[in-house]
Amino acid sequence: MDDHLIHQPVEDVWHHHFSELDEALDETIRELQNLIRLDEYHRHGHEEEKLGDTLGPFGSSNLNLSSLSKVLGSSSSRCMPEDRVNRINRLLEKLEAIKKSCAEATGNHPVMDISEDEERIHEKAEEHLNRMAEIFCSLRIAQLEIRSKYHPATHDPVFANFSWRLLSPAEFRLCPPFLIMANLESDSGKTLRKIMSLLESRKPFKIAAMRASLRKVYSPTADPSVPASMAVETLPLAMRGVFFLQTCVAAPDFTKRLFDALTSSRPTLLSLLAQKDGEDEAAFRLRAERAIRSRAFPLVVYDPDKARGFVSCFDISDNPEGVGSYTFADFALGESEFAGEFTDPPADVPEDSLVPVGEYLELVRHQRMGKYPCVYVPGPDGEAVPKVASPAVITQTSDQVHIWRTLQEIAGVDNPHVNITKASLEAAFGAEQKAVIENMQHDMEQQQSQREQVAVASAVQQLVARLTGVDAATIDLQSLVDGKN
Amino acid sequence: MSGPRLVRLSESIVEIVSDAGEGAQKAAVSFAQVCAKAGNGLWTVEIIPSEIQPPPHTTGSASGNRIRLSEKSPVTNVGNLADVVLAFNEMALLSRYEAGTVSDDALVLIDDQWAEHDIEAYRKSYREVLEMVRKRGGTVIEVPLEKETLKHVDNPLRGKNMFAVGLLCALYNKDIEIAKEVIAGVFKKKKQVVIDTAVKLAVAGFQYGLENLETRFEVPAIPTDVPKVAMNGNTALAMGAVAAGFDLCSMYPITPATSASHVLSEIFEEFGGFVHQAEDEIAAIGVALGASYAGKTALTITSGPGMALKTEFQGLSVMTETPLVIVDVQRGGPSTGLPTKIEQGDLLHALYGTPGDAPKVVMAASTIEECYYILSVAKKIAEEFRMLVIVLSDANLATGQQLFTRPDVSKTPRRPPLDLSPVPEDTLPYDWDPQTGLSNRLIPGQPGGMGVITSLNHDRNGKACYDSERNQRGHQMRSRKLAALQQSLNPPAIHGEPEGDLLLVGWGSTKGAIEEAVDMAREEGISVSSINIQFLSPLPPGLKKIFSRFKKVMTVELNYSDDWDDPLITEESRRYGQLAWVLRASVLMDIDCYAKVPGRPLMPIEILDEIKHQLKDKGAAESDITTADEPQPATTNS
Amino acid sequence: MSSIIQECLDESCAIHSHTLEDYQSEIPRWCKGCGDHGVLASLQRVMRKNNVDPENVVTVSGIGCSSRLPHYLKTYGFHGIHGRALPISTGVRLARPDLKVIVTMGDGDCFSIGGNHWLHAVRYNINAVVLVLDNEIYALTKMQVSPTTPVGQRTNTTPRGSSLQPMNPIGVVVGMTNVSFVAQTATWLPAHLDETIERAWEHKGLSFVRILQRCPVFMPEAYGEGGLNFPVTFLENEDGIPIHPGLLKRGPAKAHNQRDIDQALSVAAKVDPAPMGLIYHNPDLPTYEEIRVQHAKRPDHDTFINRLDNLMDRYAV
Repeated sequence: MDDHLIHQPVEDVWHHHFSELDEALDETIRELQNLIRLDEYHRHGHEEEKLGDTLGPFGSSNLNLSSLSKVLGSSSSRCMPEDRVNRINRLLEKLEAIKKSCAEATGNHPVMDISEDEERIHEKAEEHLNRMAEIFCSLRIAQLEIRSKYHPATHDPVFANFSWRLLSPAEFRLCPPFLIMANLESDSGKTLRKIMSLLESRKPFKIAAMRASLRKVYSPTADPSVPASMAVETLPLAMRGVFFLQTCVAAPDFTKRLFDALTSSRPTLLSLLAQKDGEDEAAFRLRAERAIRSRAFPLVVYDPDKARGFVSCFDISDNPEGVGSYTFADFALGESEFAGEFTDPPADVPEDSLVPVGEYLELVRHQRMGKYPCVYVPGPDGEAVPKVASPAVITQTSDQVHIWRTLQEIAGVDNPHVNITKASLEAAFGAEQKAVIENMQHDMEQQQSQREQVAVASAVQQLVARLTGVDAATIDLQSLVDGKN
Repeated sequence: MSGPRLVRLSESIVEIVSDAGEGAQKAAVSFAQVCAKAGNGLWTVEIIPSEIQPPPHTTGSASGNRIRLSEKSPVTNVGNLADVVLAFNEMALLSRYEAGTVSDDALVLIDDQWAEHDIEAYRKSYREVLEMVRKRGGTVIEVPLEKETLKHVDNPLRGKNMFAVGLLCALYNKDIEIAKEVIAGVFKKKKQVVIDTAVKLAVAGFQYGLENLETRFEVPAIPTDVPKVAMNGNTALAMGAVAAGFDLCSMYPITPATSASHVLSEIFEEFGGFVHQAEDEIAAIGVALGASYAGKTALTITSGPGMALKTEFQGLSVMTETPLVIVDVQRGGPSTGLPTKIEQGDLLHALYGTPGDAPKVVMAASTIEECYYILSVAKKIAEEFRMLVIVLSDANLATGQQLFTRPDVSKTPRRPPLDLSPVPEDTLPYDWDPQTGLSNRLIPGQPGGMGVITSLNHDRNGKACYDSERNQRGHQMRSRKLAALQQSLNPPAIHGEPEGDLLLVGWGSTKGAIEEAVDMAREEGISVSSINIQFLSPLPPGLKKIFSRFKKVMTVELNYSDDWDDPLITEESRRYGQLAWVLRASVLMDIDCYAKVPGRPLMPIEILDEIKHQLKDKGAAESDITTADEPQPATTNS
Repeated sequence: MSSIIQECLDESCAIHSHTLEDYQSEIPRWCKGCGDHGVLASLQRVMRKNNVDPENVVTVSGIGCSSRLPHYLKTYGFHGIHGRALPISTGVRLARPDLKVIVTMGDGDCFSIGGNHWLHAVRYNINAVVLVLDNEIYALTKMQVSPTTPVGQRTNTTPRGSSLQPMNPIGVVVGMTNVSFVAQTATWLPAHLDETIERAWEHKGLSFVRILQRCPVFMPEAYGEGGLNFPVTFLENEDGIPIHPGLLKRGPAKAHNQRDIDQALSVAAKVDPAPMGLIYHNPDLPTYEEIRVQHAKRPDHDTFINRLDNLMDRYAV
């Protein structure tokens, strides 16, 4: 399996975070140095020699520096207390050391495999997180110092026991990710359970679950319609505080989605479609596109921080629209793992017994008797040649359709409850709008006739004025319009 | 004739003029750089039309530069009458005669295309102007500037000036290789083909000069190891603002100050600062004051009319004791006056323009080099004394270019960071030292220092108050800071002997011309000295003592005063030059003034004439002052 | 980055939690019944709510009754000169984007003598809460006509009644290029005033708030005797100023989209009834100081010297 898919983005995030941290460290160090420098200035700034440096040749020739030094007097009352100076100097040393160790750490990010002992994983993660916590702890102390707000009595105890659990979401976002690699095979239940257990710890793990083959194995039962195995896409329902991303190279904004997931402050599960051994880049991309189109691998983003409501956090809008009759079975037909699952129809089977998979799934149990679920491939002359799908394919196709519908419903797309409300609202609103429009039309008509009347009246007014010599302004226009006087 | 003659001169003044847009300025700048690189001392000043696109071929359209080059360095002023004029047309030439800046026996080089021009009026005026020049005693050399240029380019407007550079190099016996280097530098942002053409034209001009000029000059240069820079005063101010550690210059466009802001706008951001062009002069100083209040002393640059608009905010700066630096690049006034010309007319306004008693520091730069250094001093004083500091420059410094020793930027001090340390709760915003009036400023962000500063009269607590006692106290404290600063000033240096018949007192950019005039006079045995006052408020100590050692004290200024022989003028009615007013009031001595508003720098020779006039009039001079061995401007008659 | 750390400090580093007293200075000396009292209290409440450090707030004012406000707030304050509060505030923000700036002005102060600064400050879009306390009169100088005085109003400079139509400042601001936040409220609607100032405080950019109030001494009849008889319309929007049910006694609510400049312009053109609430809001405009400061990063001392030296090379001969 090819890990390159995830390692490069992780590397990029590390690089990004470290350069931000580095910049923050630089800035913090500079500001702390400024405090020390300011203190120096308060101690010596008004000395003759320093004044000469500041004033330059023009000032030094025009001003008597020793006299000026006396006039300005000492500014030592503004100096920092000794213990604060020492504290700042110690902090500076520490920040310099951190800066150095950060520089060494780049390009060397921690990664573990899910198969390792759970305790061991936690131990390693704890180590990584606490190293980060130490950086942020120092930065926080430094900011307090810079703002002259560090009060040893209050703050010493707070920072003495500082651990990663005290980091803020914004700081978590800047922690370089601790990566755990997991390989989801066709029977993935056990691995998924371990993943969930790790995520439950609230450590901001970034678990990359890689799936090369999309074939699932179901426990055999007589009724294949609703399998009981876990669908990773529905994990957000179970773990609402976990950032979940299912994506693949053919997804729009693939890189950005990965970056968002890797920089989330939350524990994160990334479910990725992986390249198969020996599969070339172009073939992989094509497979990924088909996987999306057939909903064999629906794209899902669940970002718990995006909004308050669950539905607003759950986003499946990256999936292309209009799949039509292109089902999982159509996807499976092109996959080597399903090679034995498609057969030619028996020679003497009547034409109407061959049913497209999509239609077949709509049939109830007794209606399926004697029918063959088929997908069609183009034959040598361009005609559609039917291939009969095996029960295993039908089971997974049914499962995938069901998963997709579920995803749509929880994302609020095509939610039956929503649809009913929408329809009734539209009906009510439509009636209201119609009334409003009618009213407006009525008003306009009335206004128009009023205007016409005024125009006629004013013409009459002018005429009367001309004929009688009466001042036009004295004629009451309104009375002409209203027809009374 | 046995080949060209080479005449050795100790200095020479050449003016190069064309219609606006024909590139005489670029020619002059290039030639000046050639001279500077050769090691000559140098002062150049721009000749600027006051309109952007004046009608061509008129005296109003004349644009160019005056270059004074000398064997010794530094050259401190623009000098006397021009010895040489290179004119692209006769109206540009005429404008220089009208301005009274050209010597009667000058050598005039002029484009000969007008002699045969299609337009009758041009042919006529060309003949007339040249006749006038010759009648005065000048020598005219007609040069086929346009014709020769057309041999190399289609559009002579884009090349005549480079031909002129070559011609000048030949006239002054300069190395054409240096000129090539300079031209490449001048056009460095242009395409290579443009540079090549310019160099080709300069070489052609040089060749033409070598072959055709019968007399050529040599102003020898004294080579020096000291690194030098050449810039104008506004550039020096801009660079000085950066070096002084300013972060913000808030301004509104006004001639002749704006070019300082142009330079700053270009360079400032690299140094963490920027130029804010405000909606008006008032807002410009208001923004600067706001920034200063917030802890980052800011700068505003303006000229006379802008100063007028800024007086209200100046008062606020004084009253709230918020540090602030204003640069006033003075121009001719009152009102719009002479926007592009020099005058020292804003001294009294700077000192007293604000209503009420508003003590402030006023300083004046007297050289371009000082323009670089003065802002560090202004900023420091503003911050330490919590005062408004006004720095006076003028159009002469602003547009003149001088060579001076390259500042050692490595000595630029690291400025102290913003002090946001907490202060005890009971810290007062005006914790005046009763001796000096000084107090520590509180800067927003300092915990514990919260409080209001107000434009109303206030007490030590910053509280507004209206009673007579605390009003008197507030005034005292603000005034006392000036006395404290005055204590730390050095008395001005005397140029010449510390006693004698006449002491000239100047301020600002007239320093060079005054000292040169004094030197000339002293060589003639006249007992005259001079001082230049750099702090106008507070005045430096010891003035009375210095003045009392001279029989007569007179200011030399570029601002208006009534002449003694003007009608109606009596001792009671005469209005004096501005520094003279200030000094008379300060030292209670009868200080005379030579204060004029010619709209151009004073020439040393004018001051020399005045010295002689003064001493002859008052009988203070020993005997008849002979003018026989007065140094003659270089002549070109051969 | 430092803002992230700052957030954390506020959240969890036992930084002092402020009380209302932390923002209170001396006892205000405004007249009894003056709306300025309400604006002051409202500002103090919003600062308390945001737990802002008083030393990081600068309150700038011009001259006039309202301009006394900084004296009564325990923040840094600059009681400046007539009409010029905005240039000072611009300077503060340009120098110190870390400081929160409040500007209080009166109608004469802002719309008349400070008119040019007013227009340009809106265009700069500096980040500041700009409150204009509009009582339709010059009160401190004892009753002269102001730009918003109604036609016919007798004042000491218009003894036979003012002759000019009053200015509609809201129309002016909404019509100004780069406007980002315009609201109108009144001191006789205290809850509405609080909510409006709070929104203005949250907005990044110049939040222009016109606060209608009467002057109990010289202009008691302003705005229908301080709202008693003054027709208003409350602008209703989920993201606007909330309209508490009690307000509807004063006037009807009307749906309004403050993000739509065309709607805002049309609302701003109306003065009778006066629109109350958030008239225009564009939170996405960059502030002037952001634009300027991002290009001007101060280099360390050695780089500074190097650059200055390189610059000097340009002028070397």
